[in-house]
This record gives sequence, C-alpha cells and structure tokens, in this order.
Amino acid sequence: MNPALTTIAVFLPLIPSLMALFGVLREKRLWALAVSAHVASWLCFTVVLAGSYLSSDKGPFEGLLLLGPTPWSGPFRFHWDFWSIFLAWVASGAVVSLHFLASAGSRALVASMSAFVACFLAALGAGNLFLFGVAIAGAVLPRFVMISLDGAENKIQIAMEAAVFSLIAVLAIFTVVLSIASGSMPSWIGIEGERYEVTASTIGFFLLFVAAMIISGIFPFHSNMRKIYGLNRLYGMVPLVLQSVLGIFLMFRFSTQYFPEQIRQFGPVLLYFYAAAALVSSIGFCGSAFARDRIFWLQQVLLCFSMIGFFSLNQKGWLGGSALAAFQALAIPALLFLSISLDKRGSGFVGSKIADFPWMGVASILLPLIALGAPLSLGFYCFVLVLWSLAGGFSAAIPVALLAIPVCAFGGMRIMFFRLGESESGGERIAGDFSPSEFVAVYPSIIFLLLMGIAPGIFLAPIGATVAVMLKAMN
Amino acid sequence: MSLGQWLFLAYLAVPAAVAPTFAVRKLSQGRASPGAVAAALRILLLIPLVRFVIFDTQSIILNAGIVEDYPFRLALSLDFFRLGIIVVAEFCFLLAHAMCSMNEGRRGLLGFLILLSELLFPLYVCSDNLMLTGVVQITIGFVFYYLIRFSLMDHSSDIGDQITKSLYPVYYALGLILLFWGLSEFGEHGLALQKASGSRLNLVLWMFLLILSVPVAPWARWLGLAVAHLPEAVTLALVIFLSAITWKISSMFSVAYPDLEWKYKLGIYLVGITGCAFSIGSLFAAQSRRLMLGSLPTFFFSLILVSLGVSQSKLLSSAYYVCVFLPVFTGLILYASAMNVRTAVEKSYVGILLALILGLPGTPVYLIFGTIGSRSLDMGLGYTIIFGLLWFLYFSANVHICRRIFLDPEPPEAGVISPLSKTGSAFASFGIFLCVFIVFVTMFAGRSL
Repeated sequence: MNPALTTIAVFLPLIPSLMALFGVLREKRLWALAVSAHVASWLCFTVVLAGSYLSSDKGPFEGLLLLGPTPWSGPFRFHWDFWSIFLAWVASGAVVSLHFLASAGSRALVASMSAFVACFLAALGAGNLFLFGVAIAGAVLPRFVMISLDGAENKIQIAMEAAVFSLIAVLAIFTVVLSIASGSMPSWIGIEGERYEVTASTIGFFLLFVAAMIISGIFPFHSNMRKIYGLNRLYGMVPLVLQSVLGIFLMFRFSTQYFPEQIRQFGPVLLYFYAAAALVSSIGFCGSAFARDRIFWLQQVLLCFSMIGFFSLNQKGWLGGSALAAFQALAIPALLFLSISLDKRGSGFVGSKIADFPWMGVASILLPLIALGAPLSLGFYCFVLVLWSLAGGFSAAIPVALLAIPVCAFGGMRIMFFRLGESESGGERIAGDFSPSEFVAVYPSIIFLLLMGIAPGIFLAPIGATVAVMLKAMN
Repeated sequence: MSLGQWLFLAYLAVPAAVAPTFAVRKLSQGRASPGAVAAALRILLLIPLVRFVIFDTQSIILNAGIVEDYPFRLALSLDFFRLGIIVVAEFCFLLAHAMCSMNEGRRGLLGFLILLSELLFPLYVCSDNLMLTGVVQITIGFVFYYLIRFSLMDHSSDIGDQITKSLYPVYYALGLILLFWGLSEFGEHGLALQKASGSRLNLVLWMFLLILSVPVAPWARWLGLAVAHLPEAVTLALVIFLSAITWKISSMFSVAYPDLEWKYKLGIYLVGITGCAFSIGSLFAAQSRRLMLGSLPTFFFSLILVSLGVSQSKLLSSAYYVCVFLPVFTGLILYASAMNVRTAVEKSYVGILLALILGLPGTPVYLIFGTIGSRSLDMGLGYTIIFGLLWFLYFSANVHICRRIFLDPEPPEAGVISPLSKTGSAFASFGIFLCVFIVFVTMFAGRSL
C-alpha cells in the first residue's frame, strides 16, 4: 500500500492545477479543491509515516512514478525513506496550515502553488538525480508565476532573479546527470597543470553544490530568498520558503552517491565556510530591523548548521543536520504564520494583555523559543549533535559555530517578548485573540514541535537509521 | 527501582503535576496558590528522602536515556550535600510562593513561572552530566527572562529590559560554556564529569565560568537593580538559583581540578575580595532600607570566591555554607526591608535576624567566617591581614545597619512599595522558624563535613 499511497500523495496537488488549466473550476471552488487535495496528500503521508513506525522493515521502499507501470518503471521510480517521508509530511502539513491563514487567491496563483507543491514533493521522493532535476525544472514556471502575481513593489525583479537562479540550478543538475549518463565523467573537461589538477569530478561536485545552495537560498546565494520573505501573499511566500529543504536534501541524498571523494576532499573547507556563514547569519539576525527579516536570518542559521553537520561526515553530524532540515521546515513557516497574525494586530499586542489573549500570548512565547533552539526543542538536540560531531576532527570550527548560538540568543530577545509583529507598513488592524483559523494554522505546529522536543528519540531514532544507511553507502 | 528512587522521582514530578492547575483562574489567584501547595508537598516528600540519604548514607541515582545510541542521558543523583541545598531551597520556594500570593494583579502568571523554576531547581542541583546541567542552565535563563519581564511590565519595563539584557545572555553563555566544556573535555564519556580529568586549556574556561556565574560587583550591577526593583518573590527565586549555580560550578572544581595551582586560586581570591569591598561600599552608600540590606547577598556571593581562593583540594565547606545560607537569608532580609515592625512577633523576628546577620557563634555567618579565617591563618600573614580587614568591614557594616534602622532619628525609607508591609504575625513567625531552621541545618552540615 505504501508505494501507491506516496505516489498518490505526490500527484494529488496537481489536480487543482489541471482543473485550473482546463478552466473547469474557478475562484472559491478551485480554492476548495486545492485545500482538499493538499489535506488528502498530507493524510496519505501521515498514513505512510505511521506505517513506517509499525512496519518491521525499516529500510527504504520504492513507489512508481506514475500509476501506469510503463514506460515509467525501472530506474524512474520514487525512493522513499523515513527522512524523505518525514520532510514531505512536514512540508505538506505547512501547506495545509497555510490555507487557514491565506485568503483565496486568483486562479493562476492557486494553480501554480499546487503545481509547485507537487513538484516539491516529487523532488523529495526522487530516486535518482535525473528525476530530482525533472522535479526542480518543473517547479521553475510555477515559481515564476507565484512571484509575478504577488503585490510586492519589486516583484518583477524578484521573479527575474528567481528564474535566472532556478535555471542555473537546473542546468547544473542536468549537466551532472548527462555527464554521468554518458559515462564520460572521469575524462570530462579535465584540466591538468603543472601544480594543480582540477578533475571533472571536482567540477561536477561544485556544480551540484552550487545547485543545492541556489535551491536552498542559503548563504552566499541568499539574496533572492531574502526578497521572497518580503512578498505580500502567503501563497507565494510560504511554499518558496519551504523549498530550502530541497537543497539540503540534494546534498545528503545525491552528492554522496556521485561524489564521495570530492566531499571528503573539500568537506573540511566547506565546513569552516559554513561555520563562518552561521556566525554571519546570526549577526544578520541580531541586526535586522523587521520581524520577517529576522525569521529569514534565523532560517539561514539553521540551514548553515545543517550544512555543517553534513560536511562533518560522521553520523552525529548527519543526524543533527538532517533532523535540523526537518525542524526548520516546521518551525520557520509556523513562525511566519505567527508573525503575520501579530502583524494584523499592530504593535498594540503586548505582554500585559496575555491574560486577555492567552492563546496568542502562549504562542508568542513558545514559538520563538522553540525556533531559537531552546532546550526541549528538537532544534536544540540537533545543534548539540552538530557541534558534537565537530569534536575531535574539526575542533577549531566549534568556537566559530558555537558563537553563532549566543549571538542568535541575544538577538532572540528582540522577538521573545511579543515583538514578532512589527509591521513595515500600516493597514487595517484587528483586535482580540487568535481567530479559529489562526489557531488552526499555528497551534498544530506548536504542539508537534513540543512533542518533538519532549520525546526527540521518536523522531531522531528512525532518521538516524536512514542516515546510517546513507553514510554506509557513501563509505 | 527502589523506594528511594520512586520517592525522588515523585519529588521531581510534583511541580509538573501541579502546573496545569494554574489554568484555573480561581485556584491561581487564591491566597493558597498551587505553587505553595507544590512546595509543601515536596517538603513532605523530602522527609523520607532525608532518611535514605543521611541515615542510610546512600546516594539516590536516577539515570535514563533520551535518545537511543547517543549518550544524551538524564543522570541525577541525590547525596548529602545536594539534599541540604534542596531542603533549604524548598522552604525558600514556599516563602516565595507566599510572597507572590500577596501581590495584586499578575500573581497567577508569576506563581506559574516560579513553579517552573522550582521544577528545574533539583534537576540542576542533582545533575551529574554536563549536558543536563547546560540544558537546565539555558532553560533557567528563559524562565527568569519572562519572570522578570512580566513582573516589571506595568511600571518599570525599562528596568526589566535592563536586568534581562544582563542576566539572560550570562545564563545562556553559562549553559553553552558548560556544554562546550563537556563536548571538548568529556565528549567520549557521555559528557559526565570525570575525576581529575580537566585540561589546562579548559581550566581557564572553568575560571571564566565561575566568575561569570557569581554576580560580583562592580560589573554585575543587575543584581543590585533586581533586589531594588523586582517583587520579593522573584528576587528570592533568583537568588535561590544563583546560589545553586555558584555551588554547582564551584563544586566542579573539586572533581575536575582538585590540584589547582596557587596562582589560579589567588586570582579567584582577589576577584572575590574586590567584590566584597564594592558591595560593602554600596551598603554604606545606600539611601533606602531595601538597597542597604540588598547589598548583603552580593557580599556573600563574593565571599564564595574568597572561600574558593583559600580552599584546600576538596574542602569547600565555607562555599557550601554560603550557598545553603544565602537563599534563606535573602528571603528574610527582603521581608525585613519591606515590613512594618509593629507586633511583638515582628520585633522578635527582626532581632533574631540581626543576630543571624551579625554572626553570633553557632550561626551560619560564624561558620563561614570561621572556616575562611582558619584557612587564612594557615596560608600566611598576607591572607590573615586581608581576612581581618574583611571581617572588620563586615562587622562595621552590621553596626551601620543596626544604627540606621534602630537608632537614627530618621530611619531610612523602605525604598519600595511592597504588599509585604501589610503582612501580620504569620509571616514573621515563619521567618523566625526559618532563622532557627537554617542555624540547625548549617550546624548539622558543619558536624558532618
């Protein structure tokens, strides 16, 4: 049942896009269909995830790309393991939550968002780099449309940048795919000099690395992602923010398959680079003036730690890094939802009203703490695991990476006491506690984040098993 | 699991079990708050634990894994020293909850946060693992951040901001340093403290940790601000934790660095002496009763560093006496600084408290100064002279306090508007009980050490 369910879960979000494309449904009906499709997709992943706990076989399992067996059988299959299903479940859950906050958008926006989500889920299930590249290429157009339809002033510039970056990433992935497929990798544009030898594999690795960084929108390719945080419409912003997961996924899943030697060779340098990047991002977090900008920099810190864990090349680091990717996919959208809810109330909501608005008050305390990686959050364990992985081999990176945490914590004081909702612009204000839709958008994430923090073993143990298999395959 | 372990587990779980009752507005706003009930329940549970730990001379150990295959472990043990600190702290938490229930307005929220700190306290004191110690240390920072911000939200939010901007990063940094220390020093052994395993590089880190943990004047001005402005209950909870933190980090010395060289000890000693001099100076300069009495906790915190500076390898008895005595002492002087002395019980309370502060034989202050004095005599003329000056300054400060409060025609104002000024004899009676109790506990500890 699992393979079929995962395939259904991936392609369900495509249905609203097709309906919109053929003009069958419009406006509210289309929106209702999109909500139903995303909820159904999330439920499918929930069943698969629950099944993975009950199943005695903890290994990866495969699903067909399409329900018809040919011509999509053979290598073109989905390959799911606990980590990828968990990421897909978290991301599709965030999309479901998004519907409760965002009002119904235009037909094109709903259609492109649904298509983007389908491509996103397909990329997470991709069994090989080609399939992953296809999914990423498929997401380029919806991404462009989602940004173009936004109401932000500089939307054209953001869309152009996003399109150029995406095309570079797609080109890089397919260059690597083609070179691997043609079997010409070892002799492919080899440059040999008297002192330096840059092999084709090295170029291939860096192409994949750059593609991953662009897809993640991580330092130093973070400028476009930062602008995306400034978009007006949630339907455009949130799925694009979630896309960061895919870059990390690309590094963990595919770069280790094709370029293990290069990762060992350049890993230490890149690890120190990301330790410094984490510190720079934490300073950015400390110094940013607006709530969404702070959330962006916080995500950068989390992603940098994920990369540090990856380049440590040991099981602790990989477990910390991969779990951190899942953690941020849940915590960052929830923090965005909270920020938007507080924005609607202006700066009038202060702690003195906590007794009057307890749901909003509790959420405003708990979510920033969890997202900052406070103890009793999964993020905290991930931070410790990543730092722990550096002990011994990369001890010099520990102080640099470690310094990012107190800098973040110090900057965190700016969002911890009900100051997550400073709005850049004015607008209509509402008063009162969370509305039912805001409650449903924010609280499930908080409850799940708390659960992950109180019982981290439930999530870390199966992710650890997945990571152990990947690490073993690499070695 | 043995009966002792079950009791210890039940003791740890009481605040977590009581916490949901704060959601019921009637219960949380009542005079007998759920927090006070939790503290009383915990004291009852400690009675059988005293039998196990002291009379059967056994440590109670709890050990549980958080993540399989990784040494993230909850490693807790309760021995004689830790039990002493915990017993005294529970009575102080009871006093803090009683003080909190006197507040108008936000007492439910403050009571809940104090209960959270009460939950964390034994986890911190009894942790045998740097991971757990660091985690609780960081969490304490969060709890006190909100406790201070909420308690000063209405009238002095700027001061709340100022205090938390100093306190919160210090607590966070302490937690991270503990974790870093554990990762770099004991990483392969599951972050557990090992006997005499500290390296020279990390010794400097430990010293930094120690000095950071003790709010020593002149750079830790936030404690003075906290004493002057925070509600008494919050200040008391803060001092309970500060004592525990100082004790915890001081006691690591005897495990990781039992053979500390004299030059390091001298450095710690000089920092402590400087802190003592500054706090006594601020006592003489204080304009209000609260500020005057509030300088004494800072003095005793500095005295911990002095006692470490003159300590012998494993002998940390004077630091231990200070850490046990200080929370009770702070609670009592906070009450004394706010109360109106009218009834005979209240007058008796103030008299007994001043005898306690003065350091009559048998009192904790006498033991503290006696232990430091005897070690100073052993260490030579220089240490003896400095100790003599220190004792003289402390004695003069006490005379100054008595003169200003009882003999001056215009005694200093309280310096704070506190609901404790309206309390009756019940509070004073509890104060007298605590004075006697702390003398008893310290004398018992003095005989056993």
